[in-house]
Amino acid sequence: MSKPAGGLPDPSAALSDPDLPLLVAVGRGDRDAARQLMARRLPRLLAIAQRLLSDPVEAEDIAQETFIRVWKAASRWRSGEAKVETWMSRIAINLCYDRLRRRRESLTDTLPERADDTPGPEAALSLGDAARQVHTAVASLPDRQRLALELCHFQEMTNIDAAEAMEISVEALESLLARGRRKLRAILTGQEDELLAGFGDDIPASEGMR
Amino acid sequence: MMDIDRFKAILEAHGADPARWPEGERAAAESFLRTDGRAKVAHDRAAELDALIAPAAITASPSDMLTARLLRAMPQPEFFGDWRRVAAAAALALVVGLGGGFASGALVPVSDDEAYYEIAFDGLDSDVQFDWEGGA
Repeated sequence: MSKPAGGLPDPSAALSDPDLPLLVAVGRGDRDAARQLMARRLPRLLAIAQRLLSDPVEAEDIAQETFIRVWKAASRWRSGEAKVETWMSRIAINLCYDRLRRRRESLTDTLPERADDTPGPEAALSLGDAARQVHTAVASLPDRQRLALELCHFQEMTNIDAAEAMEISVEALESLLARGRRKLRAILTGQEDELLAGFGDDIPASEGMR
Repeated sequence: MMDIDRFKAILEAHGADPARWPEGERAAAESFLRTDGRAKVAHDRAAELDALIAPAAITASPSDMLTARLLRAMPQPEFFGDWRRVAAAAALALVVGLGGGFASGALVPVSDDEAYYEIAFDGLDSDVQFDWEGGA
């Protein structure tokens, strides 16, 4: 399987992909196609980035960087096997991981304490108490549990597409989802003792990776 | 084969909505839910959690500024980056030029030299003719 820089998927392997004709048209400089692709995918990429970064401004940066990469790569569409949506999500996720890594390095340099996992300004500004409590609970999950929940539960991606976007196996994805949901149940129903049941820690980065 | 353990595992990972269940197991799981009493209890419990976390959905609306920035960032079509297109354009220009030249050439009755010669000596010739006749 040959891929150009950026890991483009193969159109022949994604004939049922509704985003594919739009991406090909974007590669020819079609601005209407670009608008349609943004209408379809930009809100979802923003949601992924907000879920991971808890910061709408940074989320816009991530979405912008993702689409700029898509524009640059669109005319070089070659071979691969992922859907356009999966490929774009993967770009955004990796950009978010880079930011989270830099944040942690920065915090390690300046503050030895644990990073604040509370949700960003969007929660404080626009949500009621109950919704804010749920946002806080979701934000307290480890990054990959949070991301798995965003992709599968809130964006309703298939388990196969979500696993591909996260570059993990379907089994590892299911494990992340189950542990995330158990932790949420414990937090939201006040059953904190369930936290001792062994799902508080994220799996090591190497585990479950393809 | 669907059993209660696998059904619970699906619920724990994907929640109570069959639309979120793995496609390959969805039909079997739905059938199991209809026929097994324990499945119904587990399903109700998963549905409660789904309802609890529903408010955490993020509805992100891209700003007009962001979409405008992204449209401006679109690269121009890479026409001149492809040598085959450049070669095709040059060949087309050559064909059109040559074809046009030959076509317009057929409409010109004489060469430039002949035209100049006629302009220069046409009147003189008639004058000479007139004088010559008059002289006769």
